[in-house]
Amino acid sequence: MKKLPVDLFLDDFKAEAKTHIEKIESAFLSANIRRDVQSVINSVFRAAHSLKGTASFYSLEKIVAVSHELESVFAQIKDESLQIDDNIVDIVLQGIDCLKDLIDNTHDDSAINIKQLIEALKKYSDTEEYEDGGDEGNAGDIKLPFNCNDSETEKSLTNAIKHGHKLYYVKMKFKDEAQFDQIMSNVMAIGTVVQTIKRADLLQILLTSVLESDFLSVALGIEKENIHILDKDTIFQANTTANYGQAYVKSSELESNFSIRLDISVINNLMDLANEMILTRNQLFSIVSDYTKSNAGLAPVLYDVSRLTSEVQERIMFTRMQPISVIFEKFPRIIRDTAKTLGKEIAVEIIRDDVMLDKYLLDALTDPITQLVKNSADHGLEFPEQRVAAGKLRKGLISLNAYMRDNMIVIEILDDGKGIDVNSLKKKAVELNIMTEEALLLMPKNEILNLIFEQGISTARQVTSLSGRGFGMDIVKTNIENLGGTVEIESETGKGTVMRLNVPLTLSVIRTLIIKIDDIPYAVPDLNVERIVRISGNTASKYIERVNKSLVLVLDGEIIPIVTMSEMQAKAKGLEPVSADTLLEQNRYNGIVKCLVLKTGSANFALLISDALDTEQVLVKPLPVYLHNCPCYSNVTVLGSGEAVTILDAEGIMQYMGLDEVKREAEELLMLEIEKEEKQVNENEKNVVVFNCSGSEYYAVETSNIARIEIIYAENIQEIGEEQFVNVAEQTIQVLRPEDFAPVQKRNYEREKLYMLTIKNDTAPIGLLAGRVLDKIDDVFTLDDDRIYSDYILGTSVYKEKVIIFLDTAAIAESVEKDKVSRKTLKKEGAT
Amino acid sequence: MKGLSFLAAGESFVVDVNLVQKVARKVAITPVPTAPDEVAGIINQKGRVVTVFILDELLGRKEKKQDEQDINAIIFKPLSEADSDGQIGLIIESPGDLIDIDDASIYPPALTTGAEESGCISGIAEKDDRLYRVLDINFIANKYKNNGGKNNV
Repeated sequence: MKKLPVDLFLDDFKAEAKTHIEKIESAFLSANIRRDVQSVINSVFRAAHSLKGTASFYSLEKIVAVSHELESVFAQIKDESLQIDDNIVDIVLQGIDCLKDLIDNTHDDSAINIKQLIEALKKYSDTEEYEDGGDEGNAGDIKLPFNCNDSETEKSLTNAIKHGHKLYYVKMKFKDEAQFDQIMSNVMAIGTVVQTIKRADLLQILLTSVLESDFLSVALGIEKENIHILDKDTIFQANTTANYGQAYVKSSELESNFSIRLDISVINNLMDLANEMILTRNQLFSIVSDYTKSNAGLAPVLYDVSRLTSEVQERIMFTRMQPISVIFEKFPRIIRDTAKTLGKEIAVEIIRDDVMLDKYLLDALTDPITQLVKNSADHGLEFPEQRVAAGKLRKGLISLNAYMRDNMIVIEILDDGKGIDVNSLKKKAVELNIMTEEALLLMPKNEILNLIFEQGISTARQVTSLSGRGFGMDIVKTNIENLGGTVEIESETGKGTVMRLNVPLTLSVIRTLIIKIDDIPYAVPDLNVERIVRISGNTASKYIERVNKSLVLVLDGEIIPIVTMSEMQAKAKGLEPVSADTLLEQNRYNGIVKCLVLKTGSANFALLISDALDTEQVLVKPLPVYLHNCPCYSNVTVLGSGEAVTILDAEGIMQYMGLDEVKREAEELLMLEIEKEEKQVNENEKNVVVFNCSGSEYYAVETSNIARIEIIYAENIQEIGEEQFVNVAEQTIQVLRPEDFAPVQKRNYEREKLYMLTIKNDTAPIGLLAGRVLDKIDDVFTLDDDRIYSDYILGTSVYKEKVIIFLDTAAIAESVEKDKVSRKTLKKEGAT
Repeated sequence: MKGLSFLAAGESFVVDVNLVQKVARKVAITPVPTAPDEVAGIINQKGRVVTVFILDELLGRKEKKQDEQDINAIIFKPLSEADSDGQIGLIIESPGDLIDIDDASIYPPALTTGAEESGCISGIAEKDDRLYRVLDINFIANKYKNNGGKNNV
């Protein structure tokens, strides 16, 4: 049988109808608890109306009949002639369920009986009340159903008034389409239609015309009482009342009314095309780059092309994102039904639902969240009587919340129920041999709560249709962990329970850092990148240390295990591990080792890289199945340049390479040293006197080692043997030249005026001869003993781009003393 | 069987042309160091990431490395539209002609062929007095799926 053209679109209709129904359901239930009932009902009404419209096109009589009745009920509520109460909610939900059935069985709906439902609905949608004709009389009382708030309407209204038009509001009943068309053409002949609302058999028109109301009535052939003159104030009033709902209209209604349904593969195809476009753009750029100078107009155009291509690509990436409200909005209905079956009273509150998630993640989260919400309803919340007895509100509350924290999506399911019974949990655990009683005694409360995730554990006394077999939580945990997330529980007896799902933002689009190791590019997720450290020499704040066979980076006292691609390769291929020294040599480029410090949930580690190139937004693609032998990669992607690259999995590398162990070992070995060095760092804060001697070198001596500084004159220095002395304040002080203690050139002083730094020491006084005393500095100096080495210097340090030699005054004093002693012994030996 | 003949590892091979998506010339392969030796790396084929194998390694002959500059590869069709992580390619020396092979003229692989070869090569085909090894690409795809073949961790 040939398919009718209409049938071809039936699937589209079904999909669309389901959206409408879901919308009606969630919005209607939320109308109960919202203050802006009007605007919510408006959207519900519209959804029902469009459903009816499309269904009639396909001649689906039953759907038309049911949606018509629903529409009438909504119209009543909208006109405030009907208050929403529990009975109405029940009957409307029945209607919605019936519609769902009907839509699922569009080909044969004869089995579905709608008669009863229609009658029940009719009770509320009694059209008698609905007929209000001209009763309202004066215009001031009229509630305008129109929304005159958009700028276009406002403009046309103001314009019309300026040109002497009067505003009219026509509200009347009409019989059929023909009459409607007739009325509309009449109206258009004598005035301008601003807005119309056509619903059921009621027509409302907002129009402007130069005619007086009497003439208008005649010209249109409409009864006088159906025509109301409006003045500007009424419009404004209408606007202000409409204003309230405006925010809501903008946020949710526009979204759904102007949306289209797309198969996900369409977006994925677009994505691939956009990527290819970027490739082509790059090729184009490399070809035409030579011509940009000769053709002045080319550069800006190229820039625009570049910008637009990138933007197109980015936009397409984000089309995959949907708000979590897609999941949340199902719950008011589910919980209502659940509560009825359980005989409980439960309200659902949605705290925040605007977090955007990738479609894939959204699908994966639906089941775990549903399970947890059902758990809360079933086990968490008490029966109304119990609640009242416990001094709580009869109605239990389940709150849903979602927000972002540290690149994680946090989803909270809170209930104000009785909390988890820790004791019965313990009992179960012992019964099922999961834990011994002794072990439980030592367990902290939060760990005991985690037992709820063990298979077979349920605190429910009875197995209900909803839950209670003790497998639900186990499944929730497994599902969330598969997404790389965690589940946390907080529970307080009598107060309630919080279930918190932390899910990493494993979007299909992530920002990555592109690095190169041995000329091979890799992508690293931005959220794993801590910093890049360049190690050139060994400085106290950052250096690389060998621990057994591994390398570790010591960064500001923190020990960070180092891993290299060759180690991973060796491990994956079962080869002999490369020695630490070779690794370091392999990864040194121009004397510099670049460490990319990566953070994972548990700890940091460093990967030796050749270069870090750029950051790039990439579309994550699944890892080819042939690369699953090593958990170092999470995914693959295609870069803007067209290269396919792997995305490194920091967590995976950490575990695969056993870096925790390396870190622990290194810490044990290095901690003592580190502590020592930290101390030294503090010791490095020095107050020094900087001076010159005969050469251009700078010397420093710690102020605390200097007794005083004096001016002496070269002529006052007396030479006795090989030694020099000076008399100052009746004291003979041995004068030493610092040049003798460092590998520097010693020259004779040409100047007369010199300085002497007298050193504090216990034995004979000694002074250091200086050509010029320059400065007193209080700062942190990092001493380096690699550059110049001598027994008498502590090291060198760079200060304001000048190398300063730190003299070891104690060593100098000691050597002087030793000399004396040896001379004395010589003398004695010579005497004997 | 309509087959695409090609030269690789100095020998003639043939694969079912229905499985071939395209022959790509001068492909830029991104090596994956930790992958099994048989894997040359990954390439981008119109937004899809394809894993490229080295035939020499597959056949268990550790021979000379390919000239890095000028690599040709046969890209095989994905198993299905949804198969986004299993598409494979194979480095070859040069593509040959399309040949018609009578299925009856395919002999089972000789007993003398090595153990590694036996799976990858499903038979020997004779055409115009030349012998072609018939490559079983599905066998290769399945062998290295998930566990990386012999390098099982």
